[in-house]
Amino acid sequence: MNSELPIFRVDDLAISFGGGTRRARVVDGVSFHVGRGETLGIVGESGCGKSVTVMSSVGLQPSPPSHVDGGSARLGDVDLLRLPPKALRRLWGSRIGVVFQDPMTSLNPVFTIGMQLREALAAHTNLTDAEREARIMAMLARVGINAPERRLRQYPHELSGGLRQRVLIAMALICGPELLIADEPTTALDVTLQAQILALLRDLRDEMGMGILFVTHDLGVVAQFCDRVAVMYAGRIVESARVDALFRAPRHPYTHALLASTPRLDSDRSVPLPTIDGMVPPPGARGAGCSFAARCSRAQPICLATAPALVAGQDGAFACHHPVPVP
Amino acid sequence: MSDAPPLLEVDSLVKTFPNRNGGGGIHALNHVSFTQRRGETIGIVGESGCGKSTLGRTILQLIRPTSGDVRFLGKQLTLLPDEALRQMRRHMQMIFQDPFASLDPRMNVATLIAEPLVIHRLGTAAEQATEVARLLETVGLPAEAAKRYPHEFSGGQRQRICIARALALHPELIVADEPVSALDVSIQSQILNLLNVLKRDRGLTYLFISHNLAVVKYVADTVAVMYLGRIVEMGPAEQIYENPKHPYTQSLIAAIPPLQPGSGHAAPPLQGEAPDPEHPPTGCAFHPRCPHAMARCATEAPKAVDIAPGSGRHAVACHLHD
Repeated sequence: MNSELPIFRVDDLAISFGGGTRRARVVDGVSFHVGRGETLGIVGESGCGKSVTVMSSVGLQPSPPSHVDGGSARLGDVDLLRLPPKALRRLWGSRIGVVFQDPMTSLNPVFTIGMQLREALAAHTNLTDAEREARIMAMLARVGINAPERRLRQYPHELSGGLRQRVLIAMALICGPELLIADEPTTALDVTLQAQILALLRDLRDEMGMGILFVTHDLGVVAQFCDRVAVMYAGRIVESARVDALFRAPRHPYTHALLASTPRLDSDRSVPLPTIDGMVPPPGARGAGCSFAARCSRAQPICLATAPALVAGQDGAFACHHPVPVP
Repeated sequence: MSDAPPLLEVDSLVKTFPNRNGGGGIHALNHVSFTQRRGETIGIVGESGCGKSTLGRTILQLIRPTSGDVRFLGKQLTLLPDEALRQMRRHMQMIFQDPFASLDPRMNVATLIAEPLVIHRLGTAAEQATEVARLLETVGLPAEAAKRYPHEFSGGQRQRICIARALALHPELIVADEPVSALDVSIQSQILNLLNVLKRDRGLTYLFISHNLAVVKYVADTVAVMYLGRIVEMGPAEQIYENPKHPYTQSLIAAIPPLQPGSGHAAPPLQGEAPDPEHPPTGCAFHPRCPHAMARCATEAPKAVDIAPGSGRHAVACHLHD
């Protein structure tokens, strides 16, 4: 793990949606980095901006309706936010691989698996037909697909959900990207299948050494799969840390409440689950203070007046005036 | 444990759906039997396609079974004509997964919650309005919510509206099909707490269907694990979670990623995927994926046997235990 030499580094990213008077900031002041062979989890609830952040940082968020208001996203020494579309497209599929949540909508239903894999490879390499077929076969075998010759002739609807997700992983990794974007890649899968896919991704990461940006709402998946994690709330990173530190001693009250309200196998049924009352403020209604203050049990007057900055601590960074004490 | 008759008795329930050629090919439910006491929460768990939602709907006769019996409040639901069944529906209600799809967007909340009362002709308009106000309070919504429309509410609030609607007729049984799966964790815990409070205050009986074993652990007294249309293990929740007997139950529990980093998965993940229900494996449906499969598992389907002799409360369908 080489986090001192990040392969991907996002600084002070700001994104807004809409135009004119309806324009609203949805992501603000977001910075993070991913090292070689490292997995950074971006975690948060619906609407916190996790997918928009990650997709915008690699130029995959359609604009309009989104606008990049500021910041940079560097893959090596290239700022993806300032790259012309044509140059950006050359990076997608070659240096940047992407796996989405829903394997059914990510594959084209009218082309066979083989046609789609060949297209992905042909767009970025100058291999001969024979070399290309060999590489596709090897990749399909590597992601655990039996009888790859038969699968290549099939259409997406002929494959099970698990096989489709394996095909997508093969497609994302076939050019050996430095960075893999995985946006809720196991959310649509059953729990036994999720365990298979996470084990596969972990092995491939260790073998190929790519950095992974892993977007998820599932804290259990973060705990088991990620090295570091950034927790997002209302468009900002409110806490980031190595996973062991975050789960042992969450400092931001939101992180703490999120962990506490997740039912676990060892939860005591006779005690009500802790809850987070209220709702996330919508974009445009986020005032000067901390966005979580209205729902926070530790809030003080200062929290409503001034937004706390993300301050680095011993094990990570958190943005809170009154952090949860270390147990 | 009292000798009172069970609230619900499901006996050898079978539901076969036609396959693509119109034949009766897909066994969504394959001889499912269990009984439920009044006030008992039974959690039905299993992965996509195991038949857990079909089971809930078939019990309520929203889908008519191919064969088998459902006895509820002493009545054989499968034999009831439609009108008599409509009367019985007062006592059994359903909550669905998607609170966005299950509320008519053109009706305001008061109309939505009063609709069951109107359909069953219960009370005057004034009495219904009073009842709506009481139900809103019960599910933790402000009184002024009555005049608003579903799109003005968040997912968690909409699920509260659905719960209020389900409670309007004072049902005995509520079938809750993935009621918190579409909600964020902070909202999910609010709804789970509400369901637990309602159970305590109103003596409700829940059939709680979910793919999330941690959620089911939190609400269920008894857990039934389904695989390809059959219950493969059923017993008291604490026994199912602490001492699962069926290899499938063991794999399901082992596959839940724990919230402690570094604790890792105890066992390698279960291999393969659930089989095509149109072409189920011979013998035990789980045998192609089972780490303990023996020769007879491929030929002979295991019957559910009681492994807590005398109690009749923990049954497993597996050749390791018969």
